[in-house]
Amino acid sequence: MIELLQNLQLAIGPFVLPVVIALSGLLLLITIIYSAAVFHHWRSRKTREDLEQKWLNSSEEVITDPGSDNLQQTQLPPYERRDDFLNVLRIRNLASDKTVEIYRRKGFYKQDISDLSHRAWWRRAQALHRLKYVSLAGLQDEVTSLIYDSSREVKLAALYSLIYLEEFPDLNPIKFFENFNEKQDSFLVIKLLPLKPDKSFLRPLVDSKKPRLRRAGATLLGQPNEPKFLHFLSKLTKDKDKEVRKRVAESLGRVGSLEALPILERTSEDNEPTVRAASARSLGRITHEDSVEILDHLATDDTFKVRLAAFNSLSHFGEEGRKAIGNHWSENRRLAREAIFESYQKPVTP
Amino acid sequence: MSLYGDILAGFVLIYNSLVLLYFFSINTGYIILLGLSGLELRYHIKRRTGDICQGEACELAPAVAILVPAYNERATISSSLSSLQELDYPNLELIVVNDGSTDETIKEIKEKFKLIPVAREPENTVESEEVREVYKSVSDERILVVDKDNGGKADALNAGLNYSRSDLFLAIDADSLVEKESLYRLVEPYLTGETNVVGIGGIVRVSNGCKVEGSEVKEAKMPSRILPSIQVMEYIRAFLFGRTGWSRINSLPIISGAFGLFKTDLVKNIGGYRTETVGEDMDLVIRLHKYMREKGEEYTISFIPDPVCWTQVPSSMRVLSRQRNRWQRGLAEALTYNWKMIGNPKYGSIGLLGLPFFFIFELLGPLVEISGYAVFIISFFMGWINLPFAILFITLALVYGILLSVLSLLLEEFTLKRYENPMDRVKLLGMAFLENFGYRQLHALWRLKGLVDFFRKSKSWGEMTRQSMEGSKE
Repeated sequence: MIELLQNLQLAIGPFVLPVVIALSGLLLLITIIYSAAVFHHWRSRKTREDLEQKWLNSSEEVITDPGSDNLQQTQLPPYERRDDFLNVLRIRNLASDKTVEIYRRKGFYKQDISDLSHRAWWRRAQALHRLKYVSLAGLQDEVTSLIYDSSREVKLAALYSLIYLEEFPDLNPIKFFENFNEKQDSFLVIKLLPLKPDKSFLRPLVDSKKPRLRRAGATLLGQPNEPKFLHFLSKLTKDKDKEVRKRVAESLGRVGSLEALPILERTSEDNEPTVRAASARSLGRITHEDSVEILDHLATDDTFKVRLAAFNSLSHFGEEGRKAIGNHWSENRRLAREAIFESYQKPVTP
Repeated sequence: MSLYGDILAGFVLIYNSLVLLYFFSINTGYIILLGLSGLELRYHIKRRTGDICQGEACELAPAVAILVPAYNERATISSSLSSLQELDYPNLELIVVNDGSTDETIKEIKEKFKLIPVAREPENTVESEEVREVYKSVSDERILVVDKDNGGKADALNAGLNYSRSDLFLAIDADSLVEKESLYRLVEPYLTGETNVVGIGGIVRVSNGCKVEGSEVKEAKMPSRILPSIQVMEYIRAFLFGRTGWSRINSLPIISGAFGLFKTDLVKNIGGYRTETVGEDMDLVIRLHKYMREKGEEYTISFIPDPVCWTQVPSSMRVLSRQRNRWQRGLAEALTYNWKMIGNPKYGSIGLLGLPFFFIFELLGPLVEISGYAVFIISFFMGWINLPFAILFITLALVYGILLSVLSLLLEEFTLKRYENPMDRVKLLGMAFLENFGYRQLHALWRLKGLVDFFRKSKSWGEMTRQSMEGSKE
C-alpha cells in the first residue's frame, strides 16, 4: 500500500510540476499587469487633472445648444481628445460642476449626440446620461425613440432623461407601458408624474381594460394641486381592481383640493382596508372640518392600518385634530398618545 | 505493524486522492465564479443611473426603514446615526434598536438626538423580546429608538421590523457608515428590475485607517496595521468576486447583515429573522429563496457593487478569531436549518449550485484544509511522501491562493478603484501574498473551531471592541 502511495506521487509529480510552473508564471504576469495598471491609472489621473485645469483656464468660449451651427466650427487640438475628457466623467462617475462646465464649453456633447445611435448599448446609455447636462432641446425625437430601444439600460437611461426634455414627449401611452415590464410600472409613473401628462395621454390608460394600465393612470391623475382630472378619479373609484381604487385615494391627497373631499368621503367607505387607509392618509392633506369628521369615523375602523393612518392624519390638524384624537383615547390609548405627540411636532396643514 | 501500516497508508492514499479532487474542484469553482464576477462588474461599470425621483414624485418612492441593532455600541452609535441622517433619500425611517446594552448606548443617543418617550403602536407580526420603551427624536422626526431586553441581533431586528412602517428595510450594523447615495442605488433595482426583487446587498468595505470626517468616509485608505489590512483584501475578494459571481446566476445565498435591503412584508411573511442562529443574515436570504421558489414566482436576490457601507473590522487576533468562529457557526446553522434545499432541484440554481458549494467548500473547507495539513505532516514523517512532491503540492496550493486574491484585486483595479493612493494598492498586493503565509492557516483553524463549537451547540456571539469613527483610527 505504501508503495502504491509512493507510486501515485511519482505518477502525479510530473503533472503537478508544469501546473505549478504555469500558475507561477500566470501569477507573475497578473502581478505585473496589476502593478502596471496601478501605475497607469495613477499617471492618467494626474494627466486628466492637469488637462481639466487647462481646459477650465482656457478663455475659449464656445457652446450654446446642440442645434446651434457654431458648434460645427469648434476645433479641438488633437491632444484634447474627447475620450480623455469622457474618462474624467467616468472616473468621477457623477459629473462635477467643473466637468459639466468643460463639457459645455468644449462642445464635447456633439459626439454624444452621434453616440445616441451607436451600436454598443453602453455608448447610447452613457451619452444619454451625459447629455442631460446640456439642453436636450432639439433631441426630443431621439430621446423618445430610445425609450423603445432593444437594450433595457438604454430604455432606462431614456426614462431618466425625460425630465430634462422641454415638453411632454409624444408618446402612445399603451405602447409606452407595454414596452416595459409590469414590475417597472411604479418607476415609470415616478418618471412621468413630474412631466404632468395631459388628458390625451391619460384617457387611454383610464379607459383601458388592463388593470395594470388603469393603476398607472390612477397615480398619474394625481398631479399635485391640479384638480382638472377629478372627474376621471371619481370614475375610477368604482373600479373593480382594489389597487386602482387605492391609488385613486392616494392621488386625491396629492391633488389636495377641497373638490376632492366628496370623492375621498366615498373612498373612505370602501370595502377594502388598504383603500380606506389610503383615504385616511390623503384626508390629512386637505384642511377642512369635513376631513376631521371623516377621519374621526375612520379612527374607529376595525383594521389597524386604517386606524393608524387616521390618527396620523388627525395629528396634522392642530387643536381640532387633538380634540378628535381625544374622543378615541380610551379604546386606542397607544395610537392616540402617539398621534398627540406627533401633532405637537408637525406643522398644521395649511 | 505492517498490516496497520498498510491500512494507514491505504487511508492516506484515499485521503490524499480526495484532497486532490477537492482542491481541483474548489479552484475550478472559484475560477468560474471569478469569470462570472468579471462579466457582472463589467456590466455594472458601464451602466449609469440618475436621480430616482424629482420633486413631488418622490413621495411615490418606496419608504425605507433603516434598522440599526445596537448592543454596547456607545463609541460608534452617534456617528453611525449621524451618517444615516445625511443619506440622500426622501422617505426614510431610522430605527435604532438598543438590545439591552450594558454600556451607555441609550444614554449616548438620548442626549445627542434629544429623545423623548413616545407611545408608538407596533405591528407585532414577528416575535421579539419585551420592549421597555420607545423614543422619538425631537430634533429629527425620522429617528425612532426602541429600547428592549437583550435577545441578540436577530431579535433586535425583529423588534425593529415590528415598529417599521416602511415598504423596504435596510439592516445595517451600528458601527457602519453608509455612503450618501448608497440608498438610492440600492432602491433603484427594486423599481427598475424586471422580476420581483426581494433582496439587495451592497458592498461592505473596511473603514479602519480611512479618513473619516464627521460621519463620512472622505478618503479610502489602507490601515497601517497588518491584521486589518489583510481583512481589506479579504473583503474585496469576498464581495467583488464571491457575491458578484453568485448574483450573476441568481444563486446568492448571503447578503451581509451589515448592509442588506429587503421587502418588509415579505420578511414578515416568513416570520422575520430566525433568533436561534448567529447566522441570521444568511438564514434569511436562504429562506427568502425557498419562499419564492415554492411560490413559483420569478424573483431576484442580487448584489450590486457600488453602494458602499464602511465597517470597522477587528484589529486584534482574539476578537477576529471570535468573529470568524461565529461566522462559521452561522454558516453551519443556516445550512442545517435549510438542509432540505441542498442539492434539491426544486430550488433551482440556489439548491443545485449555491448551497452545495457553500456546504462542500465553505463549511467543510477548514476541516479538509486542517486535516490535510495533519495527514500531510504524518505522511511526511512516516516517509510516505517524498520531499519534492510535498514542496510541489504546497507551492501549488499557495500559488493558487495568491493568484485568486490578485485576480480579485485586478477586478477592483479595473472597475471600482476605491483606494486612490497607489501605495495603498501596492500594499493590497502585498497583503494578497502575505495572507497565505500563516494567516490563512490560522483562519482555517478558527473556522474549524467554529465548526466544532457548532456541534457543541455554542451560541456565543463574541464581543467586538469598538472605537470612535472620527479621525483615522483603527
